[in-house]
Amino acid sequence: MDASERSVGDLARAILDGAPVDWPEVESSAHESERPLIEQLRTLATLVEFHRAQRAGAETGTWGHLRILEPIGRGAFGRVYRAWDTRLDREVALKLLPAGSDTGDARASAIIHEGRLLARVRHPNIVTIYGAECIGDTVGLWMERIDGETVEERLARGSSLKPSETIEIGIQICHALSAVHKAGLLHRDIKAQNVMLATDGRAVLMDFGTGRELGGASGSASSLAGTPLYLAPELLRGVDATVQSDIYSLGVLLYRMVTGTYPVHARSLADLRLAHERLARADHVERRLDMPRRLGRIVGRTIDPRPERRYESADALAAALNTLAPRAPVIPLKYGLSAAVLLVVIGVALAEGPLRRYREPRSIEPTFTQTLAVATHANGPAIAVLPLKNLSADPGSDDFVDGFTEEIINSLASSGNLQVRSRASSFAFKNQANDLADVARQLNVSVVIEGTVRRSGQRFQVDARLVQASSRLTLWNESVDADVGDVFGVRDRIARGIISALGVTPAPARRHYEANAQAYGLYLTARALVSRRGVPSAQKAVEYLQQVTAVDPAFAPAYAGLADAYAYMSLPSYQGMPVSKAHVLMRTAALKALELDSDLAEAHAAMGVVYARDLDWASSERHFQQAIALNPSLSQVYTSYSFFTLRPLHKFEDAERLLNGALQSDPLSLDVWREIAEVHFTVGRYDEAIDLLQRVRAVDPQLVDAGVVLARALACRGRVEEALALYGSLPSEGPPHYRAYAYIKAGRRPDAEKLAIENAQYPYRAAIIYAALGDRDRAFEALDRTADREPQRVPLLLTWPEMAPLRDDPRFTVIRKRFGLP
Amino acid sequence: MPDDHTDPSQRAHLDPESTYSLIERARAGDEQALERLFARHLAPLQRWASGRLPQWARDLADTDDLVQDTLLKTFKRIEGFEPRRVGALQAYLRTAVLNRLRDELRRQGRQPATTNLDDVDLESAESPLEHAIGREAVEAYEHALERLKPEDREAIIARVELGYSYEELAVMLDKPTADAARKAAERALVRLAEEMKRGRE
Repeated sequence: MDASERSVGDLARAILDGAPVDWPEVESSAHESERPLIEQLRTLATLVEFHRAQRAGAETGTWGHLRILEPIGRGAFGRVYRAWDTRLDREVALKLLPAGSDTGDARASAIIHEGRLLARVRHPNIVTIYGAECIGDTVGLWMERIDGETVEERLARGSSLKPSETIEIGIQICHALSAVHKAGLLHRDIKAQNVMLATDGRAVLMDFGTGRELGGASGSASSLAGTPLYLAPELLRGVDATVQSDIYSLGVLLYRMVTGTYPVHARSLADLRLAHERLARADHVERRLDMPRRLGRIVGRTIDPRPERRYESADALAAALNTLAPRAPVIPLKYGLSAAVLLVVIGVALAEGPLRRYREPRSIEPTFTQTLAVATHANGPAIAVLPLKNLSADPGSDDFVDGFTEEIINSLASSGNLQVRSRASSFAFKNQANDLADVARQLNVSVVIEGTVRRSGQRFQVDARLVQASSRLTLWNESVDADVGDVFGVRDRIARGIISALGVTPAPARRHYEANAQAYGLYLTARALVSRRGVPSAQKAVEYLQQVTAVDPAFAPAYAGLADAYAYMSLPSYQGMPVSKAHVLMRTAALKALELDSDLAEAHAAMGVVYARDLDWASSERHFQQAIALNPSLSQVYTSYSFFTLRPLHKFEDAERLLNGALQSDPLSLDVWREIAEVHFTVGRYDEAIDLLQRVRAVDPQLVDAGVVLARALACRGRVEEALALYGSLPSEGPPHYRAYAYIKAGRRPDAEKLAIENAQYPYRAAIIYAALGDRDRAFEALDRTADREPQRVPLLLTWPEMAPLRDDPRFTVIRKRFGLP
Repeated sequence: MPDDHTDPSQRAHLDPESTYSLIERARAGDEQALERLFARHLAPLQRWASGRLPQWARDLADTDDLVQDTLLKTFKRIEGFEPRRVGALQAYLRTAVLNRLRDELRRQGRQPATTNLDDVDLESAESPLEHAIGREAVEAYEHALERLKPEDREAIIARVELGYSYEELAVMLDKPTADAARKAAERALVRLAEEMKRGRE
């Protein structure tokens, strides 16, 4: 108590004196309860500095031979001005530090000493120091003036760095650091705030831990100025700084540029030490699927807890990063995350837009363009609804709470000009203690909705708030206590509140259903199950949804949910239900949903699948486009559209364009990434497909589908041994027909022939195996049987690379025609 | 002449003719005293005011003239001003100037009428202070300042906004020493932060 009061008093004194305050350190070591006060003190410090700067500008129009023009910023240790060097007639940046307090003399001489040392380092990636001097009670350091913003400012804008940029910045800062080290100096303060991204394209290392030299005993908090999160663990143990500790900080900078967060996170210095001791570190590099995978390994080595395991020099790190640098110039992309994958992986420049053209550019149907315009309507504010926390005693209420979160997402997405991040991306942060600013950065939003739900019997209580991620400022909040039966009313009230708080023009709200409380609870639970995909959860969902429709036959969303569940149950790889049976059930459910609510996006998406299976491609496209128009944030609509309709129609570039758009609202959706990979696979871009799928699997090893497609891509690419090894690791060694293809590629025909005989009664499998064996007659015979028994599977089957040997046969054209395919 | 009820050694470097006595004389109708008071306060307030007006408003109305005009009007009414402390005058003048600036902004509207909306640099609509800490924070600061006790408010205005030294502050706040003035300013700053925090809750 006494200690904390004294520290607040000390802070006040420092602020009033204009003495340097290391705010990140103060904030991270403060007790939770003190933070709001410290936040205000920090604002006041800025205000004090502002007035001081104004007076300085007005009072001392000149400082030595420099004419002060205007304040341009505040460093950690002083104020920075734009100034004119009257001797050399050039513009400079002038940093002025008060030297009037107790430690003034020591600080002044240390700064001048540091300035003189640094003036020896001449490098384009290091800010050039022109001079340092002490005049009166002020120390000044003048240097090259650089136009631009710092990496931290860039990240704070919510703008993530592209892979190519990250690598390029990393390499440039390595060069800078190498120059510092070769001059016999250490930087000691590499961090995102100290790297300037100049408008001329340079990354420039600034602020050489000025004033850091005067710290007391090493290892004490005061000598650990700067942002502790960048400090190498050995420094926290009191070991002296080395080249390796600088390299560690550079690694943290790389990590931050890639992920927006830190490898080792802690709230206080003590926690940070503990986290380092326990080797508790996050690895979010893999999360960025658009980053080259080797970058993760390079960063990992750079921030190795053991100094001797890190790169021996900045040059060595630069060399490692250089192997990842794109070979061709990079054209800025509209869709940040998305198509950059292609760039770094295969090093091609894009002709235009986010999409690399497959072959000749061809015209795109107007309808598609319209859809895309809706899908990527990028004008409204971008927001994410984080999974509401379940505070109920009953653990079974989790699904209810998740379902309610999803309802809010859908309601917002369809009721205003908002870019709402989809469920799949938002739920990546469920049950995780994430830093809000980091989450926002990963989802590329500036505001988020967070809150809690407490359900008790037939009542539930929701506390929701709209928070500006950077400032943690609450823009709006609402607390509602209601009957479960009024859950839609609560949903609409929350959505309306958010929309008006954001100043967006609302569209008509989603239809209001008077749901029976129990039925609604079941519905939300089922929705959560459907989104898990897979047969067992879909079966369970069907069960629940049937109960819902029994209680409330007019409840449209339940029918749409049923249609979705049947769609997943009938996906070939799940083999949960014969496609034909699922198809009938799905059609009935989708039609019912549409009949009950013609504005329900999910109903239209279900109809899109139904029509695709009817081979009515035009209607299918129309419904998918309508679904996207009604709710652009449902990423499963995009993947379904691509999977069921665009790919059979060979509209691969449309599919990729659409999926790139989907990544905008759903940057972390593995389904979208997997679908992109399958498009690559289908058109023979195996290397890209392999790379993407490997990364998808690294994030979620349980995605069996992704494993199957990866094995197929490996086999097609000629990496048969890897393909077979992967099949061996899959449940029942993976689908036999694809495994047979790999056997043939591996020269093991007898194994393939054996599988052909074993699977003769499955026409779909037989078609693929015989196609691969080159037995055209048997292949077409099997294909015909597939067309009779499981016609819905044929359109996609015809696109598989494994079927390529049949393509030049006239019978292939006949069968395509039969399915209404171009 | 040094003030008689404080330690002269602390004030030796200050203008021997204290603001306090100048006010007393001005109130009694001493024109010369009024002019000296005026000269003493004009420049700091002019500097201060330039931070409180957006660029476009500064272009339309010369801030310096505005401040000068306000001070003239305020000093004309000085006989009605009963200073408890010297610092109170500072706060009083600041309030007068701030009110005048606000009136001016209201009168001219938030945007200059002569400019097309698409030409307006949005940043120029903010005052430099708003640009530095944000409009909301400026408002929170002003509200909190109003809720402070007069002595705390005066300490903040004199030290933070106008940059007086602790020695000068001691005179203004009637404190025996610079160190006492420093402590008072520190406490005032913490109370101000607490008020701002309360405003947030």
